[in-house]
Amino acid sequence: MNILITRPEHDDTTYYLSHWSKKILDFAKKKGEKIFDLNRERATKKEVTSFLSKKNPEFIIFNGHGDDDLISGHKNEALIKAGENEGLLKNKMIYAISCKSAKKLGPESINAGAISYIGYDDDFVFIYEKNKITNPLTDDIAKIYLEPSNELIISLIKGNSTNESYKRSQDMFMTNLKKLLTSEAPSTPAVRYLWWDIKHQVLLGDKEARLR
Amino acid sequence: MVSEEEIKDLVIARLESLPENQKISIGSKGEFNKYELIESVKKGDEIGKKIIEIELEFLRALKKGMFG
Amino acid sequence: MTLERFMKVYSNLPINLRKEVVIVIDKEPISWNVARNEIEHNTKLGEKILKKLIELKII
Repeated sequence: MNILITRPEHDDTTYYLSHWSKKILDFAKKKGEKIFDLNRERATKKEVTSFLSKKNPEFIIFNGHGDDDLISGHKNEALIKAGENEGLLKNKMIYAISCKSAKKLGPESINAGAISYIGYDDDFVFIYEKNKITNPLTDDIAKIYLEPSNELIISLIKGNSTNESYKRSQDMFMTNLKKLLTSEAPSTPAVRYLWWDIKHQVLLGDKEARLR
Repeated sequence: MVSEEEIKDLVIARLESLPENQKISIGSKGEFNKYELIESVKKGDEIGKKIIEIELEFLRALKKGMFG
Repeated sequence: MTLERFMKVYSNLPINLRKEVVIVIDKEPISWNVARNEIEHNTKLGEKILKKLIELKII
C-alpha cells in the first residue's frame, strides 16, 4: 500500500501536526507500508500533484490548514481546491486534519470519485503549552486532541473500515473528554474544544472502505 | 432578552480560566493566548465570534446531559 | 418548575464543571454552584439567573 502524507511546518499549528504525525510515519514503516512524506517546503501543490500521478497512493493524509473548499500546504499554498483539482483524489481514501475542508471539498471529492473523505467541517481546535513548542510530542495537553486524530489513521492502516476507524477516533476523543470531567481531574477549558472537535469530525463516502 | 454584551461578558469570564502558559490553535485563523481571545471577543471579530460559538455550543451540550 | 429545570441540568453536571462560570449578572460572574444556591433560596438574583439561563438555552 502507498500512503502520501503532507507535513508543512510554517507555524505553531502545522509544527504540532507535523511532529505528532511522526508517530504515524513510524507505525506505517513498522508495518512495512510505503509512505511518501512531503515535509516542510515539500508540501507544495507541485509535489503533491506529481506524487499523486506517479505513485498513485491509496491513502492520503493531509496535515495543514484549509478552508471549506480547500486543503493547504507549505505557507498555506492551496494543494487541492474544489472546482479545480479534486479529481486528483479519485479512487483514494483521504484523512484531512485541514480545517473545514470536509464541508465543501469533502463532498466534492466524493462526487469526483474519492472513496472516502474523513475530516472536519469546521475549525479543528486544540490547546497546547507554549513551553512545549520545541518538543510537541511531550505536550500532554495537545496529546488529548492529536492522539485521537492519529488513532483514526492507525486504525485505517491496520485495515479497519472507515466507519470502524472513525468510531475508534470518536471513542478516544470521548474517553479523553470524560477523563477531564472526573472529580480528580484539574479544572481545564480543554473540554469544550474537545467537544467541538468531536462534533465536527465527519466521515464522507464509503463507510465500509478499507485499505487492504 | 440576552444582549450581545451579556454573551460577551459570559464568554470572557469563561476564557479567564485558560492558563497563562497555554495557547489555542483555531484552525487556519492562528494561535492565541487568552488575552488575545478576550480582545477578539470584545471586538466581535471573526475569532471572537468563533470562540463565542464554541462556548455556547458546549454550554448547550451540558443541558442535553452529554457529559453526565 | 424552573428550579426543577435548573436542577435537571445541574445534577447531571460533572463535579469539576460546577465551579465554572455559567452566567454573568450585572458584571458579576456566577458559577453553577453559586447559581444553585441563589435559585434554591428563591432570591431575586436567583430569578435573574434563571431567566438568563433560559433565554440562553443553557437550561
